[in-house]
Amino acid sequence: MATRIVPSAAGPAAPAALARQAQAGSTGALGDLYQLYGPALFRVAYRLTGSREDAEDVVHDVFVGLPEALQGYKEQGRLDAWLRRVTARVALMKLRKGRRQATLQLEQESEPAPERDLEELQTAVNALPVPLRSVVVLKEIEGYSHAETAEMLGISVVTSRVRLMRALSRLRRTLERLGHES
Amino acid sequence: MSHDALRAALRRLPAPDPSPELGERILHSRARGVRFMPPRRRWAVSWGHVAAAAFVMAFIAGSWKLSLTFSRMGESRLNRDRVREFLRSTIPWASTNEARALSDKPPEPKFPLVRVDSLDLSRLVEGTWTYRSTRTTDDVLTAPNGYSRIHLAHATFGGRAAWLLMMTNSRDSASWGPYGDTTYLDAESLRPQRSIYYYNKNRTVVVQSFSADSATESLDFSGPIRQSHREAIALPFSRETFFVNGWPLDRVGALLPAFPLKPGWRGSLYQVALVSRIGVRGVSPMDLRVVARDRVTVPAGTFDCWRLEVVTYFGQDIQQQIVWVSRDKGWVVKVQAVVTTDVVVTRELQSYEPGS
Repeated sequence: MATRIVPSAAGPAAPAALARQAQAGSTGALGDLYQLYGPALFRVAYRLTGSREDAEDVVHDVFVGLPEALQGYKEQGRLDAWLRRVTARVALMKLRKGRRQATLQLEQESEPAPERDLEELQTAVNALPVPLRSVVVLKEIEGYSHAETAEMLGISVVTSRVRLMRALSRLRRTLERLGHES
Repeated sequence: MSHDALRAALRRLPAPDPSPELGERILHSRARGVRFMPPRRRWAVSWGHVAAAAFVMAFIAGSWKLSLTFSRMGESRLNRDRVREFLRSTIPWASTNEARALSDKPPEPKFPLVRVDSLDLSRLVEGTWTYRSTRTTDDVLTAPNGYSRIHLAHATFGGRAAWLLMMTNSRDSASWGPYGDTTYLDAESLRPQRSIYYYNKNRTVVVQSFSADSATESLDFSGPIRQSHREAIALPFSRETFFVNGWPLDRVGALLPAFPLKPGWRGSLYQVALVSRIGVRGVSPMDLRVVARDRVTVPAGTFDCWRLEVVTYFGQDIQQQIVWVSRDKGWVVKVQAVVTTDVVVTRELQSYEPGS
C-alpha cells in the first residue's frame, strides 16, 4: 500500500476543524482523526463484536464512510461521543447480520494475559447472548445511559434495564460457579 | 460478588489495540473509491407510537370513505376508470432488466489485491486430492452430496511451462450430471491461460482463453434447444495481479499452497466469468482472510489448519465460505458453505495421492 498515515505538518488541529476538513475530502484530516479516535473506537467495536477481525472491519467501515457521514454531525455535541455512537451502531448492525461471533481468536495468543479473574469475566461476558451482551457493553463498560443504550439498540428504556439486570445476574451466577463467592 | 464489584470489574476489562496497518487500509480503501453509509438512529416503537399510527390510519380511511361517497354523487365512474387504468400501467418495482443492470456493477475488493510476485510457487506439488461432500439440512439431516477430485500436474501450454489443473465433480443428486474441467495455468504467474469445462450431461461446454490483458469466453448448449454465447473483455487490472476463472473457490483452493497465509493475512483477487455464470459478468472480487487456527479431523487425517474466510460476490449477492487449510502443506482440508439459511454443504478431504 502506498498510502501512509503521517501526522499533519501543521501540528494537531482541533477535532471540529479536522472533521470539517475530512468532510471536505482531506485525506490528511481523515488520517489525523483516525490517529485521535481510531484505537478507542476499535475497543468499543471489539467489546461489542467480541472479535478482533470484526472490530477492525467496523472501524474500517466507520472511517471509510466518515467524510459522508459527517454531514449528519452537528457540532454542538462532542465529536468523540458522536463517533462512538456511530461505531456502536455499525458494530450492532454487524451483529444483527449474524456474522461470526467470538470464537478462537488468533491474536489472543500474542496479547498479554489479563488477570485470571478478568479473564474469567471476559469469558463470561462473551458467553452472554448478543442482546444481553450489547446492553452490558454499552451501559456498564462504555458508560452510556439507559436512554442512549435503548436508542442505539432500538429497544425501550425498560427493556434495557431488564436486560442489564438479567445480564448481571447471569454473570454473577457464572462467576460464582467458578468460585468467586466474595 | 456484589453488583457494584461486578460493575467495577467490567470497566477494567482489557481490550486490544487495532493492528498497525488498519489506518493505512482505511485510507487505501478511500483512495480506491470504497464508500460506506453507517446506519442511522433507530427509533424504539412504543405503545404511544402504535396508538398514534392507528389514529392516523383511521383518519385516512374515514376521509377516503367520505370522498368516495361524494365522488359517487358526481362523475365518479370516469375517475375510477382512470385510476384503474393508471394502476394497471404502473409497476411499483424495478423491471427485471433494470434490476439486473443495477446488480451488474460489482463491489470493490475489500483487501489488497493478491500479486503474482507474492506467491510462493515452490510450494505447489503434483497430486490428486479427493473430497467427500455432504449436505446438511436444518442441522439435522445429513445426506451425501457426491465426490469431487482435483488433479494438479506439470504440463506445457503454447510451448511454455504450465500447470494443468483438472477437476471432476460427481454429484449424487444433481440433475445436471457430473461436472469436469481442465485449466492450463502459467507456471510463473499461476494466471489461467485456457480453460474448458462441461456439465449438464456434457451438453454444455464453456471455453475460456486468456492473454496477459484480455479474456474471451464461449458458452454452447448442444441439447434440444441449441444456444451459443460469445464475449470478450480487456482485463481491468494489471498483469501483476493474480486472478482465477469460472467457479473460483476450487481453483483458488488448489493453488492455496502458494499463498503466504499467516495470522492476520488478508487478500482479494478477481474472478473472471463472462457469460457462463449467473450473477457474475466480467470480473467480480473475492475476499479472503485468515480468521483463526483450528485442529480439524477429516477422513484423510487430522490437520493443524488456518481457518480462512472466503467471501464471493455474485452481483450484489454475497456467499461466505469457511475453508480450513493445512498449515504445513497448504492443502484445503475442509470447506463449509451455507447455501441457503438452512442448508450447509460440507466438503472434506478424503485422500491425497502424490503425482507421478
